[in-house]
Formats: sequence, C-alpha cells, structure tokens
Amino acid sequence: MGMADFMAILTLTAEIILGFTIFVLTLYAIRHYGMTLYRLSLRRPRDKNELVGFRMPRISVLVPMHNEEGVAGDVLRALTECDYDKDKLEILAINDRSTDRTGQIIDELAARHPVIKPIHRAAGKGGKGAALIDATKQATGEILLMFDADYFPGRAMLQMLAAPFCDPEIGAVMGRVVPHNTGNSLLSALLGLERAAGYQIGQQARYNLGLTPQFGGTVGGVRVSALRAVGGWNANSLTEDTDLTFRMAVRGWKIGYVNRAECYEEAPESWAVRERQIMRWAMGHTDCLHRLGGQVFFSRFMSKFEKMDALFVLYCYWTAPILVLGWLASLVLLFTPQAHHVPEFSVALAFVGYQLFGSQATFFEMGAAAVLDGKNRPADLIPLNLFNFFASTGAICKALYGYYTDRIFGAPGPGWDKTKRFRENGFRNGNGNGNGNGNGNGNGVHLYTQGTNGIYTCRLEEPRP
Amino acid sequence: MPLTGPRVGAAILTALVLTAAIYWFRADLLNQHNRIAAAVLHLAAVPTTGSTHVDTFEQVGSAEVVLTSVFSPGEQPVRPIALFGLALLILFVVRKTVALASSFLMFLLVILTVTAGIILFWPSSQISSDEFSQIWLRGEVLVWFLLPWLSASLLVLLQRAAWPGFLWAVALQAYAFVWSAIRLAFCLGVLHFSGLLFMPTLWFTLGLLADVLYIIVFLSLSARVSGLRAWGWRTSWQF
Amino acid sequence: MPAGGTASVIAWMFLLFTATMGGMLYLHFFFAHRCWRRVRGVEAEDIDSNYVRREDYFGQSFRAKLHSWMELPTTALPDGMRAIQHGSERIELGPGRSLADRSKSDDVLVIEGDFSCGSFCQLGREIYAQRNVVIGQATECQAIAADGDISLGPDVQVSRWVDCWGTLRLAKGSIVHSRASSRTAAHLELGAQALSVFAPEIIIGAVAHLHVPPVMESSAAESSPERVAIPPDSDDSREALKKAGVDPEKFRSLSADCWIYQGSLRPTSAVRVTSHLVVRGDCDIPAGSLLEHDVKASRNLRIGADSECQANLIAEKSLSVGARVRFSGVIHANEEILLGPEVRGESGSGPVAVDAGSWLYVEEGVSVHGKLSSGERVRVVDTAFAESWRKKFESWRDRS
Repeated sequence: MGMADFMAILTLTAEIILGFTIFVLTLYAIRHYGMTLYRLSLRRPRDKNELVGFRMPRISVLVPMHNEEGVAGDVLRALTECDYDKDKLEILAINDRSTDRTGQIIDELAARHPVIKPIHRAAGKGGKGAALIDATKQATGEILLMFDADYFPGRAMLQMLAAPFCDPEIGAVMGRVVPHNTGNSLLSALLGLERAAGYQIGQQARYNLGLTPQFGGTVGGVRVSALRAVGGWNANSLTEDTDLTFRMAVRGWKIGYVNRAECYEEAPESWAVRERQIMRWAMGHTDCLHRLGGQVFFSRFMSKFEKMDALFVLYCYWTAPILVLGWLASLVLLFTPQAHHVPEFSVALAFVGYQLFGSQATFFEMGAAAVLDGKNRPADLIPLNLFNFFASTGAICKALYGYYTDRIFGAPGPGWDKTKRFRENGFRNGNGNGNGNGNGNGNGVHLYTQGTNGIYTCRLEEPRP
Repeated sequence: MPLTGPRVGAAILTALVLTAAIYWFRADLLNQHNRIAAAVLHLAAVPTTGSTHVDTFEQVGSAEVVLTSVFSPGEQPVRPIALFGLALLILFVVRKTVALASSFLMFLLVILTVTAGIILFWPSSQISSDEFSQIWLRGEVLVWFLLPWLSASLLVLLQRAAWPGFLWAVALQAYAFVWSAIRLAFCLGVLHFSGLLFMPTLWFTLGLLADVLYIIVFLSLSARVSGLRAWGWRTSWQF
Repeated sequence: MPAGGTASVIAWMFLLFTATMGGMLYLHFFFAHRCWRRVRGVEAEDIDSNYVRREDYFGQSFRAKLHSWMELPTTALPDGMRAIQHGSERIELGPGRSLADRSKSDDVLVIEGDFSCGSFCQLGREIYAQRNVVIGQATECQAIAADGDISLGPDVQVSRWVDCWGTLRLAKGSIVHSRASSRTAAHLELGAQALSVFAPEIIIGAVAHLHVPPVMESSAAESSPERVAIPPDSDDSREALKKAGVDPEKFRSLSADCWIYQGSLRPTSAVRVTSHLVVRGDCDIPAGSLLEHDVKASRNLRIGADSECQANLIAEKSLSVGARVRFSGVIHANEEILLGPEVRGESGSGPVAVDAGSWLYVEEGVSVHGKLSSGERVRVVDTAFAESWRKKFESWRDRS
C-alpha cells in the first residue's frame, strides 16, 4: 500500500467519523434546543404544588452516611424541623460502616428526636445501594425519600416531594439540587450553572413533555410498592439512581419532577473530586445503558418519544469520545487534500452548524436557566464553562476507556466511590443548636412574597395573634 | 414573559433580514475582511507578498486574500525545534498551574505533538497562506450565514422586545466579522514566522472554537443585561 | 525569510501583536473573571430553606407588615382618623368606618372595628378591619384582610386577595382575582369566582346549604349491592367485567397495589376499585361506584353520580365529578374540572383539595372541607352551564 492509498483510506475514515459525529451530535443539539425552547415557552402540565400538605402519606426518610461526621448533624436536624406530620414520618439515619463520629452523632440526635431511627451497618457490602437495601427492609413508610448526607432540605421539602405521589402512576419523584458552595471555588460556581441547566431546563422539560426525568437518588422519593415491583435497589450499580429510573420506566412507572423542591447540596470544589465523580457517573450510566438499553427499546409501556429520549439519556456519555473523534477527524482532513478543495456547501454547513449549534446547545440551556431562575451574576460565568466542558469530556473519555477495557478483559469494575465533602463548620442555615430556622430565634414565620400567584418566600415576624 | 408566537416570529424575521443582508453585501464583506486582515498584518509588521483570489463557495463567489510568505523548516531547523519546545513548556506550565484549563491544554498538547510528528516524518507537508485563508474563509463565511439564526435562537428569544434582540444580533454579526479578520491576520503571521507547526493548533483554538466562545460571551451578556429585565425575578410560572 | 536584522524588528512587533491577541482572548473572559471575583467567598442565596406553604399567606403577610407599620408615628386627621406616612404609602387608621356610594380611596385603610362601603366604590389599596367587612355592589378593591367576617356584594372585583378569620361570603358575580381564604368558612354564590378558595368549610350556593350533613354518613354508594371488582381478582370477576363491557386482558399489574388498564375503561355497571388504578385512556366510572384506591386517567376521567371516592382522583385532561359524589382525597386535573351538585369533600384525616389546571366549575350545593384551586378561576356555575359543559366533555371523550 503506497502513501497515496494510505492517505485515501485515512481521509475516508476521517470523513466517515466526522459524518457520524455530525449526525449524532446534531441529534443531541436538536434535543437540547427543543427542550430549552419548550421550557422557555413555559407550557407545562399543572404541577401538584397546590396539593402540598393536603395528602400526607406515611414516609420514611433514608439518609445513608459513611464517615459523614462533618455534615451528619446538619441534615438530620434539618429533617427533624421539616413541616411534616410527625406521626407519619420516620427518619432512618444509616451509619454505613463509618469509622469516624457519624454513628455517635446519629445516636445523640436519635435520643433527642424520637422520629430519628438509627441503623448501624458494621458489615456487609459497602456503598449507597447496599445501605439503601438494608434501610428499605426496615422502613415502614409507603414512600421512601432519600437525602445524601451533604444535603440540606428546607422545611417544606418533605411535603413537596410527597405531594406528587397522589398520582398512582408516579413511581419516583425527583427534586431540584442547588449547590450552596458556589462561592467556594470556581469549579463549584461553574457546576452551579451546569446544575441549573440540568434541572431548570432538562429535567423540567422532560417532565413537561411527558418523558422520563431522571431520579437522582437524593432529594427524591420512591414508592415502596413500585420499588419492590421492579426488583428493589441495585447494589452493584455505580449509579443506582439511573438504574432505578429506567427499570421503573420500562415497567410502566412515571418519574415526577418538582422544580420547586429545591435542596442545597455541596458541589465538588476541586477538579480531582469532580473528575472522580463524573467518571463514576459515566461508568455507572454506561453500564445501565448496556443492561437496560434493550429493555427500554422493547418496553411495551413507554411511548416511542419516551424511548427515544431515554436512549438519548442512556447514550449521553458516549457523546464525549464521539466528539473527540470528530475533532481529530476534522484535523486530519485539514492535512489532506480534501480540505483544500471546495467541499459541498451542505457538508461544510453541517460541520460548521454542528460545531456552533451543537456546542451552543448546552450553553443556551445555561443562559435560559439563568434567565428562568432570575439570576444575573452567574450568567456572566457561562464562557468559563467552556473549560469545564473540556474537562468533563476528558474525564468521560478516560472513564469509558477504563469501563470498556475492564469489560473486554473481564476485570472487575471500580467500586463505589464516595464524593469528598468540603464542609467543615456546619451549614450556614443550620445554626447547630437544634432549632435550625436560619435566624436562630425559632419564631420566624416565612411566607410567600405578594403577587398574583407569587411563590417565592420572604421572612416575616410572627403574625399578630 | 413566556416565549410566544410573535417573539418567535420576530426572531425568525431578524434572522431572515440579517441573512439577506449578508448575502446581498457578501462581496463587500469579503473585501473589507481582507482589508482589515491586511491592515493588521501591516501594523504587526508581517511582510505581505501581494494578494490573490480564492474560491469560497459557488453561491458566495471568490474573495481576495492577502498573501504572506511561509516559513520552511528546512531554512532554519533550529527555530521550529525551539518554538516547539517553548510551546510545550508553556503549555505544561500553564496546565499545571491552571487546573481549569487542564483538559483543554492537554488536547492542544496532543495536536501540537502530532503536528510536530507529521512535520518530522513528512517534511514536505506544507500549507500556503492562500490555502489557509481559503480554509479560513470557508468556515467563517458559513459562520456569518449561521450567526443570524444563532442570534435568533440564543439572543432574540430571551428579550422582551424585538429591537434589543435585533441590536444584539447586529452587534454579534459585526463582532464576528472584525474578529475573524484579526484572527486570520494572526494566523497568517504565525504561518509566516513558524510555518505549519502551530497551524492545526491555531485552527482548532482560533477557528470555530473562537467563534463558539464569542457567541457564548454574547449569550451570557444578553442573558444578564436584557434577559433578566424581560423575564424578571422568579415567579410561579418559571417553575 | 526576511534578512536577520529586519526579522528581529518584525518579530518584536509580531510579539506585541501576539500579546495583544492574548489580551483580546482574555477580554472574552473578562466579565466571567470579574463575576468570579465578586461571587468568590459568597454562599448561594437561592433558596429560603425556611419556606413553608401557608394557604392564607397573603393575609398573614399583610398583617405582619401592618404590625410593623403601627410602630411609626401617627398624625391626627379631622374626622377622628389618624394617618401614618410610610414612604410613598399613606395608612389611614381609625375606628369603625362606613363609606358612602361611589367613594374613592387610595390609602391603606386600617379599621379598628367594622368597615363597610356602599356601591361602586373604588378602594385602591389594602383594607384591614379588626371586625367585619361588608363591601357594596360593584365596588373595586385591591385586597382585604379582616379578623371577623368579610362579605363581598354582587359584582365586587378584588384585584388581589381576600383573607378573614370569620366567614367569607362571595355574592353573585363577585370575583377575587387571587386567593380567598378563611379560617372559618367560605360561602360562594352563583357566579362568584376566585383563583383559589381555602377554608375549613367551603359551601357553594344558597345559604340553606350551609349546614350539610357529614360526608361519612350512609349514602347511596354504600347501599349499592352489585359492584364489579377492578382489577379482577377471580374468574367470576373476570366474567362480570366482560359483562360490564371491560376487557380483563387489558389489565396489567404495575405492582402489588397498582394496576394499569391499557385503553379506555368504560364499564357499564358500578365498580369497586380495590387497588390503585391507572387507565391509559379515558375512564368512565359508572354511578354508584366505590373507589377505595387512587384512580388516574391519562385522558379524561368521569366519576358517576352517587359514587364514593376514598382516595385520589387524577386526570391528565379534564375531570367530571357527578352529583352527590363523596370524596376524601385530592382531585386533580391538568385541564378543567366540574364538581356536580351536592358533591361533598371531607376527610377525617385533614382537609381535602380540588385543583384544576384551568377552570374549576362548581355547581350549587357542593361542600368541600379544604381547598378549591385553579389555574384560571374557580367559578360557581348554574345547571344550564354545567349541562353544556358536560356535553362538551362528552365530545372530548368521543374524540379521544
């Protein structure tokens, strides 16, 4: 084979890869744009916010904790202060083989708050999935609500997450995650934008369109009967939440999303932690793709649009290596004679269009989310997310390389990896003395601001008796 | 302030008007683009060797481009080696100190190294300034034609009224045009001083990626400046 | 290449250009960098973690605001009233007050007794009374809070909210454009409208209906002897379902306590729903049925007269509740809801709620202990309107 043949094959390969990249990423770009525009149209089904507090099922709140002494007190105190009928509430604080003071903190709080029931796991398989399996056996509620230890649920959170379960078709409900530590590092600030786009646009649009929002395994709930019907938690999955979402969807359950149920979380503040987090997501998610992709495709309960969107979600981490291949292919073409001749207008247009529209789609989501959230400052940060985009792309490629080499060579995959916590001095709204109302006096009454149908809150004094 | 039919109509109208304007004035735009690039090259003291016409697309026609000589590694082999080493050093140092840009710089390192390898093993690999200008213009002309539609979807739809959206779109178009000429001039300067070595890297960073960047900047600015006025603080319909 | 000396000069100029390019590239990140410098070290303020939902929040909020205003110095007015200036707002305080027909006021009125006004008044700001409030016909108000009763005359328009601790009465044609709430009872007459109504007891129609019998008394629903079980639990019930025009093969189990019916469900005889039921289509529950668990229709849902619903009713489109239906859960539809005459909503475990995405029409004789809410308006309608709506509803179902 001569040099000319080699170049011809290289060029053809690059063209095919580039064509495939353009095709795949254009589909994703269309999906992103469509969802953002649909979200901006504000068309949506009636939410269940008006039903909050009217039908309170018995709920069990599960808080798995592994070495969470820095945050355990905050989340448990916040949960005890939630505005939910205490006769219908139990908080299962799961000490999952902790070697620090987590167990002690749980026991101390349980002594003060009978609603907290400690579960101490000293042995058995580790990881969130295994902890949830144990706790679910002991739960007495018809609904399970889950919070990670670094989350800080507001007082109305439990009611807001429980309300959608009045719909018998709802198998799981997801709330919205908002990083509180966006000022601690540039990464967490950028992740704040990314989260806003993912929830305010992606999740809400999917819910509004009757598709499948993703249950995130925290700030969310599942119906116990639905969980049992789909086989319970999968302790072997790195992303047990994604796994459960699609096992429920293929068996006919719907996933609800409550944008108003906003809960503070702690976003990663260092790139190393973020990389490990996104690699775990990428591997777990891709594993779900291989196990559940076929079931999604052949599900008799899901509509064709639900299936299509679910497959988009399951394949989403593949876009990173495809994108990198596309970039490399376009560079190869720069060196070859094809790049020096006039390409077909349509092909060039597709390429440039995919680069521009495709890349802009996620940023458009961020801009639209900032606008819908009424935030101006974070919108300025959007250009820096370009670097976050590259960082995520690199981490995902690395994760998928590891995942597929493990599969090919039969190596056991990575174990569950807990995301590092950065909080040291307690949550700013958790005042640490048990009344946890943010201003420390325990008398605050917090109501909506006025407006025809206003929904935001303001802080007021105790109303006159 | 939900998205309504009239606002979508205003966005489409904005895109149509701008697209028509670009098509109508395409020859003038390409001519001015070349004049700006030539002026910048002159200011940067990069010698030019005249100009020539290159084809863009059949529908757009040909464009005059300024010509520069291209450095050949055979003339001074030390220079590309030194430049390559310096570039690697800078990229490594920045990559270590700026964690934010780590992955991006890694990708640039890969491109640069691959390019160096190509030059090493196929020394005949070369690109002339008119060829590079042609590649550049083809990409940018398409960007100019696509920008009105991006403006329509990204900028106009987030505004309450049509006219601020239209102004944002015009501003973006003008910026794209001028910034493209400056970037082209810089690339031609680099081609003149260091040959092919940095061209793929520059094409990746200052080409479509730079287009993506300023569009994102315009999106973020318009979302902050005008979008929030139009949509206001969060109320129930935004949930 | 140019000669060495010249090249050196050129290179310096080009290096300057390179630095300028670097600066220009940085400018693209200038605002982002500036933003980061500003937000660094600042924690997010996006969520009020202390938010709790209260149905009377507008009235409570206003009372709390007034409470703080009362601390401000007052000036005496000629007619025994006092005034407080708070920024651009003027608050008039005084004992019981009665305004004549066609009176106008642009001040916040704080009345330490009863307040009444004649017809066609224009009251541009909030009113608060420590006792009762009576608003005359066709008056336009902004918002009213009272510690006693509030009575809105015919065709009164309230552009915002109404909240009282006593009984709230909305006369014929009166409209509250936002929320109406009471701690005692709300009474809505024919043609009255509000975005939402919340009260321990909401009575629709003439005053004669104010004392309705408790929901859990015996009813036609409980005395109905023949009900087909849904989902089928035996061969007999499968046969019974077939006779009732239902295909038992379309039932599939989602879980131990939830079944799905693939298609529209239209049994011809009364049913007893013994498990949560999701109908992928329209659902017609015949008269006299007993719904022990939640029922959801992915399109329209009709509940026949004299049925009893012990759990929740959900429709993704519209929902029609027949006459004398008793319910003790929540009722929710993405589009319109009609509550037929003498529908009762009450639960021993707390208030109930009916929520419609657009219009919630209510016929006379309805009694709900809890809340009626809507995306457009809750509206009391007469029999003729209800009949025409039901025809429209039938056509939606036929189309689907």
